[in-house]
Amino acid sequence: MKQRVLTLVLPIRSETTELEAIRKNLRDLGDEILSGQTQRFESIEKLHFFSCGVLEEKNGSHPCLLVELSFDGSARDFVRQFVAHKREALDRILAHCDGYPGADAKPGEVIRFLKKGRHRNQAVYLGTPGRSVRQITLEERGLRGALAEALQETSGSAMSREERWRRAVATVSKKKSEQTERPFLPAPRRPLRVRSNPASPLYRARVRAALPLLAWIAFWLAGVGAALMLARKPWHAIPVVAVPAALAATAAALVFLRSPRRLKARARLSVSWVALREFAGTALWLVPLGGLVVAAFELPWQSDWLDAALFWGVSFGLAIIPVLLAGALVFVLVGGHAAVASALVAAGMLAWRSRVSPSALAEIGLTALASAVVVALLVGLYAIALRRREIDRVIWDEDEDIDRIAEVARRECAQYQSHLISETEVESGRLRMATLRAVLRTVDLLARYWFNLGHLAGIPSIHFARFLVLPERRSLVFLSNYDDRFDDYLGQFASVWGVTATWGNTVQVVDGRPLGFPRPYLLVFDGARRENLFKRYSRASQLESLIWYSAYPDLSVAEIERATALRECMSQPIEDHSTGFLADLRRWWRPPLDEAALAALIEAL
Amino acid sequence: MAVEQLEQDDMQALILDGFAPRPHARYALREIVDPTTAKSWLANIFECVVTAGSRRGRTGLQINLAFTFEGLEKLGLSETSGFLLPFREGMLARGPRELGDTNVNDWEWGRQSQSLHMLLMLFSEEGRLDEDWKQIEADLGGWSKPVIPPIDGRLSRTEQFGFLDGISQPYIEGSNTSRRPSGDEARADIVKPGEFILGYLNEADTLPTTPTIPDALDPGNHLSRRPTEPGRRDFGRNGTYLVLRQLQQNVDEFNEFLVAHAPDDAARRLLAAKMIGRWPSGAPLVKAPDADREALGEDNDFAYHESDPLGFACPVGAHIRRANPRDSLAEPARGVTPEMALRETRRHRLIRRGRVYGDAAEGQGLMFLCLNANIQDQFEFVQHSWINSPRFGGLDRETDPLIGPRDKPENCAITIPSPKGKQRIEGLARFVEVKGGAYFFLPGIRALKCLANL
Repeated sequence: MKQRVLTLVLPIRSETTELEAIRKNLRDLGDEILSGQTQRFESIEKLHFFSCGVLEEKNGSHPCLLVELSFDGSARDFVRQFVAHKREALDRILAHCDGYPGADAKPGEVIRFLKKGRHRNQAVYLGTPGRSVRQITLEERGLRGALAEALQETSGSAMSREERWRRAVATVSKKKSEQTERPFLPAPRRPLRVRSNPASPLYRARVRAALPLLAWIAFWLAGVGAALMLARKPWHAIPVVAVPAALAATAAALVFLRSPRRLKARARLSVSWVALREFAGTALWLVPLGGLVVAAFELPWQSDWLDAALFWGVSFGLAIIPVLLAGALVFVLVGGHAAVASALVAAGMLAWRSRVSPSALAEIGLTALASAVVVALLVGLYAIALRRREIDRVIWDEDEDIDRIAEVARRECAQYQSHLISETEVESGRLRMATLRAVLRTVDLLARYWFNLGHLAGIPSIHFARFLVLPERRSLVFLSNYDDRFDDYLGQFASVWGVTATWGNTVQVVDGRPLGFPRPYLLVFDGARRENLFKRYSRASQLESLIWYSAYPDLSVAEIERATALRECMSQPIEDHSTGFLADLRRWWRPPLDEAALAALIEAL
Repeated sequence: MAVEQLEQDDMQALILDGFAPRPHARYALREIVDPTTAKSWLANIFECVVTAGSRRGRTGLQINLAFTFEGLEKLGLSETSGFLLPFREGMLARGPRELGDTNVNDWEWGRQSQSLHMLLMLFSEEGRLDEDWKQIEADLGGWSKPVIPPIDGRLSRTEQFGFLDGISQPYIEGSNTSRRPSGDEARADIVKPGEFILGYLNEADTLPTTPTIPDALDPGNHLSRRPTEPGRRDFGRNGTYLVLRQLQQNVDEFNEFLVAHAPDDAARRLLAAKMIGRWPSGAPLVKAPDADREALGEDNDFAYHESDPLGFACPVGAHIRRANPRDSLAEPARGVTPEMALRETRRHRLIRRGRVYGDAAEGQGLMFLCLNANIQDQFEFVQHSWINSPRFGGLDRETDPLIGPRDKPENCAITIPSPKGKQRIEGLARFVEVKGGAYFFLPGIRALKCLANL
């Protein structure tokens, strides 16, 4: 099931002057929700996390209510269910918001009101993608303990390890199936369906590992294949292999000649053999390049469709450099979709030009070079402008305010998980805002497509986190549902580049003076590495999480990951040592548990 | 990189030395009533305050002094900045949140109603404690009153459960105090001075946050100026934070637990050793897995990842493996090498200077005293994320078998792995109870002079 997030920013009525009263109201409701007595949020079975905070007046913008929702499935269904089941709580939360239709309004009106308050998340990170609340809390919670217990029953008996594992799996899966009224594991010989467990780390890891291989194959086919097919005479294709081989041999010979003469010939040969082997690894990449060169030489005398295809291919190949550079620039300045669109347009234009005259190939090459120079210049200018601002910055360095911390940290450590709302102001100037937006776009892309295996750049303790830029307040809001203690959590942040690149653009206003984040060096260096200062800065930017609910406040990301992985292992076949192509294919698709893996698994339980 | 020179003459001796030749200590917890007299007392006591540089071959009274944040304020230190949050908040406020202290209201000292300002530590030779105490007690009475009667600590090789204690101690780079460790021990135990003393580089190669005061408060020019902060002086240099906790040990309960869970003496000794990670002689289970070997008594040259990754010898949840995991938290599958794990551990080390107190009749235990430059990242981290964490090292629902919190019955367990399978022992009782605690600052000598001059 896909996890989704929704963030609402709802202006508080302009006639309201008593923010403290609103806060107290929400805080009381938050306590009720946490105690689980009057407000049972567990009944919203798709809700992972829920929080509320109050953003105070800033830069002439009204105070706002910040509502954070993290849930399973479609937003429409979820909001409908939420409004239907939690109307009383919603009325209490939203009563002070501008334009709230009130307790007597129909559900449809409330939904429309909420819809209007939606705010775009600039970056979202999911720590346990694909896992539904049901899967985490009902199906997989306590799986490890149950397995360990089942294994302990046969501990010390004469049974083989395999047999013990089989028995434990059977016991636990029966118990879990009964408890959840659904089959816990698929029938034998069927893979655990991707749908039931979409973020299975094994599955993602497999696809990820296959990508470079696919790219490598495509590269070879394009290079070597084109050369072989285009060569007018078969021996024309010889350079494809001969050139890299000759280069490797030359390298080996040079190493031999430069090795000390006083050594015996055998020792000198063995050195150059190492060089030859080292070079061969690189030469593998040169082979398809050689192919492309051959293809280009053969090109002018060919006139059939293959010629045309190759011509287009090569022009695209060259065109890709300026297109990539231009795309990157557009990405930084405007955004993801615009970058893709402009890249396509640019590629089309370049290709069209090269259609007109073959000499355009040279033109494209020049364009590539020129655009590289321009981009390098722009990057240089940007770096200088950025560095000047960094040097001029006055750094925030204040002691923590004990009373404030007692307020914001009131609920910390009472449960295993905690919640953080942080609001900082974006430093003045367009450069800063553009930089921040570009960084957040990058963070978003990375979080979506790369850091989807339970950690964000090595930070293993975030369940759901999101960044919002609120332009009217000129502020950056960060919301995070994290594991364990504030100091440990922030400590993990300190060495991550993206942290400095993000908050490095922010300041906090003290007595009307904007004081900046610990000084970064060229956007990503230094900054948060001054750990103590960074932690204090983050604490000072923290707002009280007046309401915070977690569907599984006692579970860490690592435990959730581990439970899913365990379930995968439970559904894995045990190595049967069969041979043959089909068996190999089966193994690739569903790797079996071999002896060593099983032993490690049981010992780690 | 060059090793930093330590300004030993500006440090109180406790940082580098456990006062071994003086086995008797008296911990006096005082409330300052008359700050003016207190300062003049302070100005006259310097010859008794032992420094790290002058500690060898000294005779006469030997004391060290530490203050709570309220104590420093009471003496007139104001407009400070840079004191760590836990120190300013106090252990009482931090305990329930960060340290798992559920019984702060039952503490004998460090409670809300008391004003604890100063810790005076008197170190005496055999048989001279009362005599030494008499010399200063009269003076103390004029300007302060005791929060509780002083507690006597004695240097003992074994703690009250009967195990050799205080073996693993970080070695401060550049201190030249004791034998410089080698091998695995060096990898684990040689730590940069900034982890324990303010004013020096720490393991992250940065300077620890140091408290500063305005120029005006140091008319005697004792303190060095802060180049980055005009108008401020460095009050913290050569000082450090001192954590004091009175841990009462319920020896009978510990022995009863062993009797209930093991059939004979040998099995009880083994169970106790598995809980602690060392045998009574101090021999580490990693090196002596099956029986005690006295020859390995003070052995500290070991790591876990290579020799005992699964805890077959020393369980992952054993006390010494939690309190100082060395390279135990390496996870090569996730890219955390043993070297990285060790580096991480070195950032959470403590200098322990505790002593045992009391007897079976009146309550006995350990005056746990440790020094660190960053309370959040060192003492509190060790306590919260290693000792108290039910998830430490990939474990499931268990806390430190000796000193872990006991408020959640499901977490009162220890798992003892072996090649044949695992044994989970539940029902750990509260073997150790906190009776009181506070965070202090142990100032450098120049900072003490500045205090006396306020």
